[in-house]
Parts: sequence; C-alpha cells; structure tokens
Amino acid sequence: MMDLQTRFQRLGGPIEAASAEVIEADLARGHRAVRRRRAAQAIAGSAFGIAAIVAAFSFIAATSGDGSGTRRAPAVAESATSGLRLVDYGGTQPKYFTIDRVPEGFFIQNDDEGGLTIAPDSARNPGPEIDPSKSPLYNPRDLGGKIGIYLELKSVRDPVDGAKVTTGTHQAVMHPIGPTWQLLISVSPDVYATVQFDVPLSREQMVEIGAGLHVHQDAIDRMAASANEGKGTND
Amino acid sequence: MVNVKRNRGSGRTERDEQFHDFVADRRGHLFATARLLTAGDAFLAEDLVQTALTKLYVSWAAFRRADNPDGYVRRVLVNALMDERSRVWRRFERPVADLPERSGSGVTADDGDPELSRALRELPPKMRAAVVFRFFYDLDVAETAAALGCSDGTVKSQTARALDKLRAALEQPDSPVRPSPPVLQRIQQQGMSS
Repeated sequence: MMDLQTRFQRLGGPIEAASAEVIEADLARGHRAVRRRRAAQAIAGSAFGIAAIVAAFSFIAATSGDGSGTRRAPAVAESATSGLRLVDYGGTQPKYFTIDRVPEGFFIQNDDEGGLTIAPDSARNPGPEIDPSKSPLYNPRDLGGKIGIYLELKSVRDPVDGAKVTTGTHQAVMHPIGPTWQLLISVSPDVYATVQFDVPLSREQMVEIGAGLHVHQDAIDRMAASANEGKGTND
Repeated sequence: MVNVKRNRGSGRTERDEQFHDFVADRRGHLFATARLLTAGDAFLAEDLVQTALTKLYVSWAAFRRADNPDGYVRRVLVNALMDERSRVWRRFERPVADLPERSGSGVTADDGDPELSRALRELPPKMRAAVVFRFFYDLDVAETAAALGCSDGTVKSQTARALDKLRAALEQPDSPVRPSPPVLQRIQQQGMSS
C-alpha cells in the first residue's frame, strides 16, 4: 500500500535541473520587473506633484469664476507620465457594478459572474492579421494590460500587505504584485471588491477609479453567503 | 541597497550572478513545492515559480539579508499562490488547448496522482499549504506559520482539518490507496503538542 508521503512525492514530481534557457528567461523577467517598478515609482512621484497642482486648481476654480462656488472640478484627470486620462464612463453599466470613471479609450470587454474586464479600445476589433485566439489582449479573461474588477472573500485574501487608502466611503489597501497593482476595497465585513490594474495609472487615478466603483448589494450578499457556507473549513 | 557591481566580461551584475546560481540550484525544488501547493496543476505551478522568482529578483537584497532564506522563499511562494488565486482568469477552468506553451521548462500536463490532486484541490489554498509544509516538508508549526503568515493555532487546526479531509477523500471506496495511519497519527500528535 502506498502511503501519503510517497504520493505527495510522486505528485511533486522529480527534481529536474533548470535549463540554461529557463534560467535566462527567469533573469529576463526579473530585469523587466525591476524596470517596470522603477517606471511605476517615477509615475507615482510625478503624479503626487500633479495631484497637488490639480487640487490647487480645483480649489481656485471652486472659489472664483462665476462666484457660485459650485463649479465642478475638471472632469478629466491625467496621469503625468502615461498620458492616460480618466473620463466619465458613458457606456452600458455592468450587471453587478456601477462604474463612474474609466481611462479614456477603455471599454467593458467582459461582464459576467467572474467580474469585469475593462480593456483598451484596441481589443475591440482585431485586424485581419490577428488571430484573437492566440493574443491575450482579445481574451476577455486575461487581465494583462487591462483593469479587472471582481469580488473576493476576505477570509481567502487576508492578510493583505500594502498602503491603506480611502476610496469614497470605504477603506482599501493598495497591494503591489510586481508591476501590477490591486486595490482591495472593503465593501462589507466579509468581502473585498478588488480592482486589479495592469495599466500605467498613478496611484491617485487608481483610487479615483475605486471611489467611482459601486458594488450592488445583492452581489456582495451572494459573495458573503459563500463565506458562511465555507465556515468550518477556513480559519 | 542593491549591489549593482558588474561582473566584467558577462555584463551581468553581482545580483544577476547570484540569482542565476540560485535558480540553477533551487528551481527544480521550487517547482516541486509549487506543484504540491497547486494540487498538481503543473502549469499554474510554473506560473507560481516564475512569479516567485521575479519577486525574489526584485527584492534580492532583502532576500540575501533574511535570517531564514528558506523561510523567505516559502513566504514568497505562498503569497504568489494567494495572488495567483485571486486573479480573475484563475477562476475559470482553462481548456488544455488554451494553456501557453512553456518550452524548456519541463512542464507537462501529467499530474502524477489524479486522485490526490482532486483531494488537494478541495482544500482551501492555505489549508493545502499547511499540510504540504507540515506533512511533506516536515516543518514545525512555527516555520509553517511564518510561511503562511498566520498564527501557530491556525496552522494546527488547518493541518488537522486538512488531514481529516484528505483521509476522507482518499478513503472513498473507489480509492485504491490510502494514507498510512502511523504517518497521520504522527502529524496529528505533532500538531497537538507543538
């Protein structure tokens, strides 16, 4: 009879030496991650100064001009380095969420039980030379170069490392995954609404998108209910 | 501060050289661990290893300074597991035809023990990691807790529940094999006494 340890060993498989090509590929990924991290840090640093300028401008605009004091802040926020601007979302709202702001030129590529995928317009109409089945850009479930929004249980994710921020009325955490960022918004005691950014946005822009995300209560309740079903299996 | 001293001739930094040696020495072990953590999903395991190695490269100085480098690597691997699980595309079953080719990485679709894979897949990731580290790698409770980022008590309860669930799953009538009772007993006793 085969014992469990032997079965674990078999499942893990033999320890194979990495080929030179695999090692070089790992090294190349490390180099790319370092470059992207430095670029992201540069964006974040620049964006802080821009945000201060925008805030000052908004204050001046709101307290001068027509004298009403009710003039809205500019409807567009721009990333200092990437050039991506946030605009009001004008398309059909998704099933489980309402979104206020998206990067200009982005659309909802996928909306189902798994969540939302917000992709650049270039993902809409592949040219004749493109095979959509072979390019992740056209795969609505691939989040590379896109924004993903979905719900998840805190019991599964916690503890989450990252800077604490506030999005609208919710507490949230900015969690880095290499060059990608996740904004985990606490929408209930049991549920995070996670916004995953694999696009070059400033921290302020990510928070702005998070603040404009409204999760429908029935979706939160359904996700929370799955936590209760799982109690007894997750400490 | 990351050491950026260059190795003359190759154009590589000292970090590159150290990372290269680390990967050459440890990648196979990391992949085997990742394969257990992912319940036998060789493709996800490869993703996990790549993610973990990239994070290690980025934080190489911190890794080199770590008091317990093995513990550091385990934590990075578990964090990658949790992060991978959270990504939307991981929530969907991917047909084999959609899986990317990974030439040269040694990844195959053979999961080695489908029955054990199924049983492990039923466990939440942290519970799975607890039983892998405690049982297969024989780590103590404190080491496992450090890897999982949780308390000693959670490790004990997660390990005990994991073993119960595995035993139940593997003792189904159609199961040709079952865990050996002395081993289960040993782990449960360690869990109670640690």
